[in-house]
Amino acid sequence: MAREQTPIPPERVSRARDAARVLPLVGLFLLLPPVIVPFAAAVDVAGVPLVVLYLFAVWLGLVLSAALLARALAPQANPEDPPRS
Amino acid sequence: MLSANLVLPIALVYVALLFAVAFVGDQRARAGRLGWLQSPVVYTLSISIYCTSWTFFGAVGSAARGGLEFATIYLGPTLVFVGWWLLLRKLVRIGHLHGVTSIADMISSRYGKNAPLAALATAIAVIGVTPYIALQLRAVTTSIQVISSAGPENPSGLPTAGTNFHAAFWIAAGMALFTILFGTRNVDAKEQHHGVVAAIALEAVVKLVALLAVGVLVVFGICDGIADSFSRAAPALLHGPDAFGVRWVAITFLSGVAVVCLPRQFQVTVVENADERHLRTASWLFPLYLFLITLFVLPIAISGLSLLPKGSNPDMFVLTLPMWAGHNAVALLAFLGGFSSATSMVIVACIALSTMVSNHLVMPLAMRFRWVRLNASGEVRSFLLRSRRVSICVLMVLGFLYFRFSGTGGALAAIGLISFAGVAQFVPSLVGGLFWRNANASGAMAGLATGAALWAYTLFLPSLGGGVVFSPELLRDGPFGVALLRPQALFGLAGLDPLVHSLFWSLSLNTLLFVLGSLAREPRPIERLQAALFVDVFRTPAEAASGLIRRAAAAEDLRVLAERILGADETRRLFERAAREQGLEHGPPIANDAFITQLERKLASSIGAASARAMISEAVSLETISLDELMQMADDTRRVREHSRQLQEKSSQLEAAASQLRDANVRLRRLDQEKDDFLSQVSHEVRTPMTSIRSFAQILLETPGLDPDLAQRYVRIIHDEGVRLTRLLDSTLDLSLLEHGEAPWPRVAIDPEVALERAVRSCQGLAGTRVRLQSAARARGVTVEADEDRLCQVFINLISNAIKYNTSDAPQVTIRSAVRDGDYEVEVADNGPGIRADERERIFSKFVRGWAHTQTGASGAGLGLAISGQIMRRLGGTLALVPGAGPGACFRVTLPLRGAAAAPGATSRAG
Repeated sequence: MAREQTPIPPERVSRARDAARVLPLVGLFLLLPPVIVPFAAAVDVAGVPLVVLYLFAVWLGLVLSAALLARALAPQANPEDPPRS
Repeated sequence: MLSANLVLPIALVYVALLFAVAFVGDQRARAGRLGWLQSPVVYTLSISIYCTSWTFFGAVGSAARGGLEFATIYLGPTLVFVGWWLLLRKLVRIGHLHGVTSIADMISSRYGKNAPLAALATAIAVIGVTPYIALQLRAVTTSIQVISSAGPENPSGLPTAGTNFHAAFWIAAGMALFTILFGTRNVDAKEQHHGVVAAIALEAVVKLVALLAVGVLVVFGICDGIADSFSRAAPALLHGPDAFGVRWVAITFLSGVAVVCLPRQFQVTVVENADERHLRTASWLFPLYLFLITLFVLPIAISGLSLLPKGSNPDMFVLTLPMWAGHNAVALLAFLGGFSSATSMVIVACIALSTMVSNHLVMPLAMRFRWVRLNASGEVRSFLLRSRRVSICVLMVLGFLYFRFSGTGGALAAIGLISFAGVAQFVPSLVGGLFWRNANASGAMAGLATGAALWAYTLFLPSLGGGVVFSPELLRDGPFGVALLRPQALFGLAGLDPLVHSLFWSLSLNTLLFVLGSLAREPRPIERLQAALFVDVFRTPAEAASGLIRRAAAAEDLRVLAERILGADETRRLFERAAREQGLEHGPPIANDAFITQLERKLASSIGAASARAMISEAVSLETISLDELMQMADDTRRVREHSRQLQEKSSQLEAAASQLRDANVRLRRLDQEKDDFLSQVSHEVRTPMTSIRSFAQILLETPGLDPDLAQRYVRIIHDEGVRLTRLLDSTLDLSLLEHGEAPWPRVAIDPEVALERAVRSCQGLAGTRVRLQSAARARGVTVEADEDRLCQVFINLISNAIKYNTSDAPQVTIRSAVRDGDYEVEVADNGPGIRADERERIFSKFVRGWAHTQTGASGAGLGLAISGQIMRRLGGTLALVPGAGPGACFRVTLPLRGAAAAPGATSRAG
């Protein structure tokens, strides 16, 4: 399957590019009210308030997604870039 | 406990270490051994100067006061970096292509290299960052006082005496000295400050390790794990009624904006970026850094609130908690971490701001009022460096004054947010300029000026407090008692958080005026050009500019100009390289459009785009911007974008068609070649017997008294040759019929062994006693579908070949047949010389005599095997030369058994 191939095929880079554009919007959606408000309920998970867990989990999720996307967006397969002078 | 006598030397040793690292970094960079200095990790660590002492001390303070709100300061940058593809990538690319030196330079470049705009942006940046520098001074001063004076009996973090401004002054002086030593060595802002970058990378590690150490100590040393530390929290802290209200959104937005617009962040992210690929790593590594540094903030804040005495300064919990627990080493580490975060911020902020001040404020004034002798070589250069050093000192003095006059009240975070709101005024012009083609300088000017004025009026000046600028009465009742103009309730908008209030008015009016101002007039040509270069940076090469601006200048004038700013050596190198690129052996380069553009960009990376343009304009006699070409370029980019997709599709279709055509062409050529070969072969074969017939007939005709015996012999030769000719023509006809004949042969069920027996019998005569015909294993009772006569013809051809061309001393031909895999197989093998390896491929072609190398004297037309191959193909079988057991040739005939399906001719090699 195309997933295992190197270099990364152009269709996949194009999808990764779209994902890179959407990722910050997903982050905004998850971290701003109203989505975050229900998590502020006074519930503890293993002694840690739910909202703290939620916030840091989303944060870590964003970091991991960005790391994966950064790998998929290796510059050698970027047709949008003109040759560097 | 820790005494001032101990803390001060340690701080000095640490500073000496930073000096050493910066020095080594500079040495390595000068020797060209950049190595790790240019790695993505160091790049990311340098970006983490975002985490100043506001983060180190203030985040805990902010968490203690407002719970989770502290996190918004780090969520905004996380989102911006995770979304690097949208904004940062474009900024960094533009920064590289256009030699951008600062955020003010970026904005002025975008709006036609507008000098007043650059000056305004610089002024806003200087005023906006001043509270931020004051914050660092305050944090360091307080931390020194706390760590050296607080004992176990006084762990409150509240200085026993008043703020020690004396110490603060010397701290400011020390930071200014470090910055001047390492930040103002070179006039070219695009040249990285490798030493400083190395030092702040080290500081980034120190502050992260220190904060993590304090966190681990608090959670696992003082408290009993994570759950225990959270259990001490007051319920209102984390579950406040409107924790996620307007302020949450506003600060998230503000911090995301600040991580781009703060001059020092712009400096490390865009200006000091050596390789665009580093941004890719930073896009996740920097958010990870933020994640780690904030991980323990809440537990530290909660523990501080519950364990330390009431009224302790929450901004100093990071320092006072380890001291309270008696862990002096960790306290010292925390002190160094806070010291690190403050110094690195001050150093980079001062470098960035001093570059802006000298390029955009001092230089234009110096040029206008002739403060500097422009005709002396290197004069401008040293003037610039001097002005940068002075700017650094002025900036530190401003920070110190703000610190002095803003008093000692208020949280660190509150001071920082004032700065954030100040630099946020850049957003409409910066982001609008990157994506909106029609944005122009008028809009940017109006928006920036209005936004900054409103920010100062509603947030900055009131923050000075204590009646320094605004009296308490003015704050309460408005200027001259006009309630509508109350700074913190402008136009009657009361009841909002002061920060949100200021942000609302400044940014909304800023954006509104930016848009209206831009729509009010047509962009000027230079604005339109820069807009095209910036907005379409990924599609328009920077060189495109040189084709659009027509300028003429004397090369000598340009050289004088360049020497003033770059110095003689640098100028000579630049001009020699340009001359080489133009293909000139020696002498100055031709001052064409491309060279002038190149030189302007080089100057811009030292003194900023606006000043560079102003200077070049002095040397240039005539400047026109071709509007038509500019419009065309913009149109072209749009059209190209629309059609590139269709083009790509079409080209792939075309490519497929072309490759089919190429294949067809190759096939046709081969067929044509075969036809030519065939014709020439036939002519050749026919000519030989014809020549001999003609010559013997001529002898008979022209020699009357010919000996009858001789005549008889000649006639016989003529007859034999005639027979040979007929046979040849018959065979040719036969082959042609075989190849092109449409009428299918009647195939009936026969026993192939019968045909084989018949063939062996008819070859007995040819074999005689010389050659031994040997029958090996035979298949019996086999039925195939074939034409018996044709099959027999193939066998006869193979056996007779094996007999005729066998030069062995004891000639022998072995015939065997068998059934294998549903096929009937006959093998005819001989012990003769065999077929040479290079002939094997072509043996079934027409007129190829596989035994040409044998000296048997036997001759043939070279059509037998070709005919046999064709017959087998039409019978649905194959004829092949296989590696036999013996030294000779071994031919194998294969026919599918009756009932077994076989595609006729599918595997035949003959043809």
